[in-house]
Amino acid sequence: MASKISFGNPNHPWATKLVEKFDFGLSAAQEERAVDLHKRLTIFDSLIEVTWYDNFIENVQKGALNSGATGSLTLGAAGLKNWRGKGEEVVADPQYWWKPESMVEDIGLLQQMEREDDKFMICYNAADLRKAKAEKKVGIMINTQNTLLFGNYLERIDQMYRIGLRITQLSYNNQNLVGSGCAEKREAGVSVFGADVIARMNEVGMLVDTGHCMSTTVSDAIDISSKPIACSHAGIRSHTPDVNRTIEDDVLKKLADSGGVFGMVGQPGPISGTDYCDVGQYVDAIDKAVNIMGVDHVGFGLDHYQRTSLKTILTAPEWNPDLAARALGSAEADTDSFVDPSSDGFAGMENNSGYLNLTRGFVKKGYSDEEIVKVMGGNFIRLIEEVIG
Amino acid sequence: MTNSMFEPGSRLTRRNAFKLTGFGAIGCVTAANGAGAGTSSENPGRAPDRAIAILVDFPDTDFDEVVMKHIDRFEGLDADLLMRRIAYLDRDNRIRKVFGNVHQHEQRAELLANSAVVITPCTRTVMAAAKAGATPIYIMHKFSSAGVEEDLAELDVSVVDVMDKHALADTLRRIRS
Repeated sequence: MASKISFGNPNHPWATKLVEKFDFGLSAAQEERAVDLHKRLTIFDSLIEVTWYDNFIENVQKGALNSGATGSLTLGAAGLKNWRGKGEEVVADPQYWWKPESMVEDIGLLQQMEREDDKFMICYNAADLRKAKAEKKVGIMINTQNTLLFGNYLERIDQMYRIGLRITQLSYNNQNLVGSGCAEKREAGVSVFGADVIARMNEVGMLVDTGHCMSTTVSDAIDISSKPIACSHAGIRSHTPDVNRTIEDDVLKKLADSGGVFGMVGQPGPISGTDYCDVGQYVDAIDKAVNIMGVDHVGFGLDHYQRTSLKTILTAPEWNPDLAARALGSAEADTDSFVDPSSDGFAGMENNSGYLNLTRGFVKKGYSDEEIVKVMGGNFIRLIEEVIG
Repeated sequence: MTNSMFEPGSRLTRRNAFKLTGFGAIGCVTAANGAGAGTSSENPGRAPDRAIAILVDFPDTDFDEVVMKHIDRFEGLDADLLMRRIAYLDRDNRIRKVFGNVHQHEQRAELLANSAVVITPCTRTVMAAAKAGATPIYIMHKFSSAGVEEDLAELDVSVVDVMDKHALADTLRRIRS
């Protein structure tokens, strides 16, 4: 297989373009209701990737109509310093992935950025998220997507909590010391050591996340955890059966029964089963999760890894071209193919300035104000309050 | 005086404001019934004829949601609730059990001017309520600025700790006596 990989379309306007209103066919009264509610509710995007391009914060603010928004940012992986403000393709180094020193460096840099920019704040609990909203800032809660950075030292959970990590995904795509990822061949679920990790996370008040985990791992984690857990960014197996980044319906129901919250991932594959989708299909997929789990247990996690490419993804130790293609719902596994940012094929959500389209879509679906508040972030904030404080 | 002077957490702001001539100098809210001048310390518990005996303020700045976490403290007070503007999860069932009336944020100025006692975790509302002729009671919380208790005590504004379940009832009894 050839190794030549390009960044797709380098002139793609995903970063600077203000996402346009998607045509949901709303009446003037519905449009007015959506805008008013959108300004008052608190957005919580349960997975914001580390790709912190130049006007990332501005796009999030535009997506919240400048009324403040919150979300969970992934660190400790490809290196925040590699992404910050970059306007060209970034090629991360494998040495950064899932290392405690990467997390320390990333959080240190983020704290420095916070001191220099009053438009965003790092949030360590639910009260901080509410503070960010009330002060019309972007509130960032820190997550990481692999317990590999804990090694086999439970004390590292305490250490990482102390420096600011609040949400940790048990596994990425493959098997690790804790559990099985979504791309593993065998369903091992959560290991004995993994049970200790979950217990320690419960103890320190760190939210257990299962976004990339296999359904078996999610199910085990629900059984083991003394507190409700999250599945921050995944799809629904019955909705897109051929995409492995998806969770079985019975496990989703179990997650809801245990008080957990599921974030429907914002990538074309799990949404439509193809390389392309629109925000109407995204709302449909979220609505399907609501029908399975109930409106108190569903949110959304865009996971837009903009300003990146398959080449960069493949620097991760757990990726390979075939896996990447399958995970993204693509039929094309040839790395010669162009790979655009995930949002490139996502009409109405090309970047984070498109959050309003979600609220508009739920209005069109007939959701009440209360239901929209929950799905747009209220459910995740409630979970964070319960687990983290 | 600009709004920026009332940024939450600014002790300097409060001190500068208080150093003027008491609450009467703070141009926040004019009492609808003309009883707006003077400080609460001059006439604590006055204006019993106001339409709302007790107004509990649940402001956007109550980041820790101390009002909702300790909602049981307001049971049996026959109080009204001034609801925050930002929408969070609906708490209708809990709120309706405790508060007779729930008012929207847009009515804030009018409500302060028509309330005898205003209970709030917001120092700005303390000042606005006092200016409007109501008797404010400040609720301490974990985001309260250092020194706020002393500052408000100098102005004879009651400060309660919601963790003390008797504090609010005792304070109300004292104000009304």
